[in-house]
Amino acid sequence: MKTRRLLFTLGVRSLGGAVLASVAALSGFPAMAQTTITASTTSFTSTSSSTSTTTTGALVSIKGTVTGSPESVSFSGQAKLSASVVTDPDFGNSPNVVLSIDLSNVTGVGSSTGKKYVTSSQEVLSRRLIAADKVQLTFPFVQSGGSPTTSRVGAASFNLSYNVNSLKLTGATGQIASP
Amino acid sequence: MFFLPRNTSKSRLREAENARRNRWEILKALADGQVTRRELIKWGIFTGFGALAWKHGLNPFVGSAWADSIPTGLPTSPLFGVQDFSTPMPRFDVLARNPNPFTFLSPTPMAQSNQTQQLLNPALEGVAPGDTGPIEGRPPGPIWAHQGFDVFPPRIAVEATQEGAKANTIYNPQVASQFNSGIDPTASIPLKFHPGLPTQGVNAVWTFNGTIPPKLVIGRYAEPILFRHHNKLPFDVRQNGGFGRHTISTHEHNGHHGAENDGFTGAFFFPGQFYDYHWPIVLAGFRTVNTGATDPRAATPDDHGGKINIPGDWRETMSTHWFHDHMFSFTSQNVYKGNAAMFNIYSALDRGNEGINDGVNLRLPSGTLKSFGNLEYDVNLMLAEKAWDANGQLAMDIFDFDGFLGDRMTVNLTYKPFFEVERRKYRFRILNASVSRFFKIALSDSSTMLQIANDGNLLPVPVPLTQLDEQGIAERYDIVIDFSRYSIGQKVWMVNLAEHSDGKKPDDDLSVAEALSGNSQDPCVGKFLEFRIVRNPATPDVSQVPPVLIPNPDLSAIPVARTRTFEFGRGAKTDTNDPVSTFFGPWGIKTDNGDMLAADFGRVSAAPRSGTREIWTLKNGGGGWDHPIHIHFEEGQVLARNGSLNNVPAAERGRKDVYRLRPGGSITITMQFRDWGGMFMEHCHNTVHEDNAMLLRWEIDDGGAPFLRPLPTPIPTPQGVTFRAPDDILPTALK
Repeated sequence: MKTRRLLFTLGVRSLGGAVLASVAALSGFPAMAQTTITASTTSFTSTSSSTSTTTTGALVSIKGTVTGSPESVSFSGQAKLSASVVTDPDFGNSPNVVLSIDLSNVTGVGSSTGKKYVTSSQEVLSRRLIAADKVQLTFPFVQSGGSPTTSRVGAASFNLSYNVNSLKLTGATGQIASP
Repeated sequence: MFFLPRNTSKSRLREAENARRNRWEILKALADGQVTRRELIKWGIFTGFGALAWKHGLNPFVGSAWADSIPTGLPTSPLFGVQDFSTPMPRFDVLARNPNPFTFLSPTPMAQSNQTQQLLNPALEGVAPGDTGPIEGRPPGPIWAHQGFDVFPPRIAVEATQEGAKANTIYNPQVASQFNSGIDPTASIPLKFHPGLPTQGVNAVWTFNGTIPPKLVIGRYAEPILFRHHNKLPFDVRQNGGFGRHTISTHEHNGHHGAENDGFTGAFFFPGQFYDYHWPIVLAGFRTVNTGATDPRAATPDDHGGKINIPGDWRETMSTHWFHDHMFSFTSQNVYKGNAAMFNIYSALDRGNEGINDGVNLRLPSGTLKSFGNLEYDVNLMLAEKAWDANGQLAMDIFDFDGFLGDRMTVNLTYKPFFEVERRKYRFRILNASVSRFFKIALSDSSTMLQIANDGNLLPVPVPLTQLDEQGIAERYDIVIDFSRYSIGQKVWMVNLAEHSDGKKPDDDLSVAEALSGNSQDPCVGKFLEFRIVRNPATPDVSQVPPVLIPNPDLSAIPVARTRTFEFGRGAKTDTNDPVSTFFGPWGIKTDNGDMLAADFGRVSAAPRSGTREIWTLKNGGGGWDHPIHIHFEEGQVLARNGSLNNVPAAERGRKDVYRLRPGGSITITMQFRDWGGMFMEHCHNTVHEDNAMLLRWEIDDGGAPFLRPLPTPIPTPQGVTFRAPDDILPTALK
């Protein structure tokens, strides 16, 4: 049975973007045009525990401006989120979240030069599972082709909603600002 | 768990203190050998899972009528009025490098263990008056002889003791005082975690040479080191200040050496003995790759600013190691007690001289005075949180098998220090030397750090980060911070973002603002190291962080001999019952979907063939904990997390030796098994998990004579090491 579930899970995962659906259509979360929640999957990969992992992906349209020298940079793009809610049947504690936030598809444009700015930020965070979680993080960015030694810093914040019963991420919004 | 919230009532504190005292009595009986853990479980003191029973007055986690919301246990470690960031952070104490070990050391080092007999102290367990035993604790005979001792004879001797706390009167930071926050190296240094805290008792802390600051060994490729470690701990096992074991085995983490020098958990040695560890310091693959030493990147620094080519794969160059105790079932206690040091390895690429521009040297921040190994701008940081009792003496709760957390952050064994820096680039080699705590490090202003190495191996490219990845126990993150962006007089702090409520895993990675708010219940969240920008550099900063560091070895052409799976979880059982080599605990490892087994260093769980490559998948068997899994010997490359390379962050895409699994997660790695043989280990580096009993033995045993297949298990006694056949060989081990 576990094997069948695992195969199913892997099969769903392998479909990748093909299973993307709108927030409103799949999760019942109030429609937000800027966020797409992917289908959630639940896997049972442990052979020594009944722990489960429910993984929900989200593509969050995000934008905002980072001010500073030598120029302000306006960012926009899609943040790729993956929230894996992991249960703890062994100790009976609340589930926890392994949250991945990938900003590599978010790019910026310099206000005075029009030059492109990029980031390779891929953050993985441990979080407690709560219905409404606000996540703040900073990220380095550079002018496209620039040296990492010239990095500047922006701030991203996300408001995440979880269904704490189904363990799914149900909504996400985000914005970028100066740290 | 070792701390209570700040607003805890006095009655709750009294209750917790009483529980602590009760547990201390049990702890002492356990440490003294008056009872065994199995007996405690039978009596209901421990649960079947090994945790302390949920009894009021015994377990401080038990909620009393008014304490249901209190998540933690014991009274906070008193600070005796000490303020944060009020004392300088001492640089590491560099151990002397002595040329020609064969004349410097007495007795002369030997390929095989020196079995000269000495009269034993009858205070040792199992010793009768008049008994004799060998002066060296290394197992005797050809199997435990130093491999390659004739090809790589030691050229440097480093000698250290393990002993009780005492003042340091010979501190050698190997930098001038202005690079050490003004510390006068000639002044005697008492063993205190801060000048305002009490001096540690002789059996409260056991360190290398009995002193602080922590020790640093300077090495370079192709200059083999003979590290002679003397055990000068008390002969009486009961003289341990409540925790810690007087037998030790010193693991050079993650040395690419023969197993006899690896600090195998079952190759421990006793007070009154020494153990000679031979660290040849060779590039992995030296037997098959670049054997003619023609590649200029595979090289070691000479003493005159030049370099000498050496055999091996330059892409296997390593830089930042540490060494620590690996005593079976007592690693957590002994490391926490002070058995931890660092080891910087220098190469032509990572020279420790930022001024030499020869096309190979990466010129990372370091200094220029010496040919190699300059430390002015290359700073070792050992992070470890501690706890102490009402008298200020180091304390440890050995009853929580889920993990131990302290409540006071130390850097280089100093409570929340400051460090003076110049307006230029610095390299920091950050070691998580905690027992169970994960860190997640940022700067207080969220500015960028460049991570250049992971687990002591330079990454393919530097990775800019405003907060480092979670850093599990034993992981080393080398970073570069450019302080030229600050003004003289400014301060910036290193901040820990990872919040724990117990020793199983971090619960929450906070934002910098949250961590600085002071609202966390975890006293080790927030600022822990203050950088004071004090001056401009006297000479221009010529160091670099080049866009390319060390690419990973390309293993794609090397066939995969086989795959193995290891699942790390709870509910382990034992299939062996050797009084020396087995240990029962709640944690265990399931190999290739077999049983979840508790540790037995007499059991062979895997035996890769010499000269092959394998792919191993490490799985977390539960969701309520994380495990930083350490595999000894040669670095691996991470192929996937949860089945995909896309889940592997950039800073993990180098070579590693510790692999955090994350709750419910898995990681797939590939490793080569070459150059050396013998028995090695794989274990959780949450050392409480390791000790209880998440550890297995694997071995490379078919490399030719003198190796047998499988290898006999060493069983140390003060009278000498005996050997016996393995208790168990898992059915998939040798396939």
